[in-house]
Amino acid sequence: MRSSLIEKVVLSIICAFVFVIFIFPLFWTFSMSIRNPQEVFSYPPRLWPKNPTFANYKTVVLETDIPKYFLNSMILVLISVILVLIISIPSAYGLSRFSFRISSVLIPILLVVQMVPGILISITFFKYSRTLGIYNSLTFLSMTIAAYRSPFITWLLKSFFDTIPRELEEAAMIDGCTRLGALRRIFLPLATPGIATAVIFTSIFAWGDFVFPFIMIDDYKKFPVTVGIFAYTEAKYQVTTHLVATGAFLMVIPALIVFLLLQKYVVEALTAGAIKG
Amino acid sequence: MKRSNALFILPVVLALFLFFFFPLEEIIRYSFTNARLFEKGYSYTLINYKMIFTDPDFLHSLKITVIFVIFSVIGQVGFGLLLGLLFYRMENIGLRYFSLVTRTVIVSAWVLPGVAIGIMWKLMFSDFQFGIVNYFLSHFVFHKPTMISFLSNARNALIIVTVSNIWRGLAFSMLLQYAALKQVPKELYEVASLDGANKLQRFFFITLPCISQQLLINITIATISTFNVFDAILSLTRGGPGKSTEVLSLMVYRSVFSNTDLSYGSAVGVILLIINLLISLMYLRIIFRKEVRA
Repeated sequence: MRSSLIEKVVLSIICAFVFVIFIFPLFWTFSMSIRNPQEVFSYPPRLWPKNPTFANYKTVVLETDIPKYFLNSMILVLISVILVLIISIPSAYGLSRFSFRISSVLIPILLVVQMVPGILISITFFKYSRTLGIYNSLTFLSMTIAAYRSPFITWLLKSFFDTIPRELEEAAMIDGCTRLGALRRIFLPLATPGIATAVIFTSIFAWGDFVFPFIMIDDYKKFPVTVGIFAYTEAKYQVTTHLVATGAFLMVIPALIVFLLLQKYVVEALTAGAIKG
Repeated sequence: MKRSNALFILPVVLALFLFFFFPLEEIIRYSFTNARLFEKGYSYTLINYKMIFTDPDFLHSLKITVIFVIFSVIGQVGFGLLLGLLFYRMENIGLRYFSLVTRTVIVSAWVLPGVAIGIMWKLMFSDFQFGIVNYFLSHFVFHKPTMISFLSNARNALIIVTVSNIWRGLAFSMLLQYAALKQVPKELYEVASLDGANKLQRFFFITLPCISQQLLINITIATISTFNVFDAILSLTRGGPGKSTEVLSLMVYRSVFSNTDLSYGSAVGVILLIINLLISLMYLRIIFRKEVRA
């Protein structure tokens, strides 16, 4: 009994330590974001500012382009998610329901291509961008992000679709439904949890994507939030630490909210490539 | 089978050709030329590959990358396993809620944009006196004023970059190892205890063999994703000080865009691609071997 109490205490202390290590960067960023510029650089640094103020948030919203970057990122997420679903749902359905001769090659390829570094793909598009009219285009950027994630999503959805019995659609087709009708009325409602995982996975990556917009966009009016706030860290002749902290904290909030509300799907998306064979 | 069924998989096949195979074919082709980023004409040559293996910048970047990857993977998989064990044990002795909260906080690190992670770590590890980590070390560890150059010293910067990458990737390893540990049949432990096996023996002869598959998968995925890290390092150190944290993906960027040397940067990229491909093949072997066995 006593040894188990000691164990409880020791494990709780270790756990608390881990908790602090993982929460601290977020906490510190927030704490920096509610300081005025003088207090950011004051010594000794305080964990919590003496005069907490939300002035930086007001500055960021009213006097910088950061709200515009947020809007761009939201557009980017929206288009990317729609495109990923357009690419991946039919493809995953096809791979799950029919056996093509190329399936045995295609399925491993879907898994392998997610290891291709984004920087390599973006170089080619940069090189062709002016002739193809894709430089500084949020639409083409969304297409690139969607296409880059679609093989993995296709594979993720295929393994989910495999668990939905095909007899259900066949029964509907015998009753006079077309295949598309059966797909829409019977199959898609059952596939919703898998599709939700795909949507969340794509949203998180589209929101945080950096390398594609960094290379393919240089018009600051079209920056997504990642590139826009990174650009602030590059401002050499201005002290922007307090604004950068504010921007960084604002940038992580949407991701954190989605995560906290939809944890189950996030965990599923995160471990999908490893647990299912 | 109806031919029209092939239409279903057409979208992903198109995506693969237009957004993966075509751009990669171009990169491979550029690597065999002398093309510059903003010039039109070029001719084919092997000069990039002749130069690359004697280029001190490349060899340095390769070395940095390998160090970064090896320590990141050891850290991610090692701590992932330790945390998995910690949470597994906590669930068993009635600390379920605390374990759940901490796991949630760890996983939240994974959803953050890489750029934000770089910025957050830069705020903590500021070299100046107002850096919170320096302040903490001065007061609670060394008990004298300390100003460690975390990000302006070559060796320290590489350490911080590696630690931040472990921090970022730990969620994946922890979840994977935790799930694997829960799959180990409890009866095995009971039988082993009856036979007089102690904790260490149970870990090495029951736990490890049971989760070896997940460990291997974890190692390969962590290796590939670490080779490809770009955003977090760029926003934390920009590859500096000097070139001390310039991993291969950053060197590709610098060669192509700062030096406008499209062909040489492409050659570096091709080598990065080959490394990734080899590790991916290992990953596929493990994944599909598992499928046969299951």
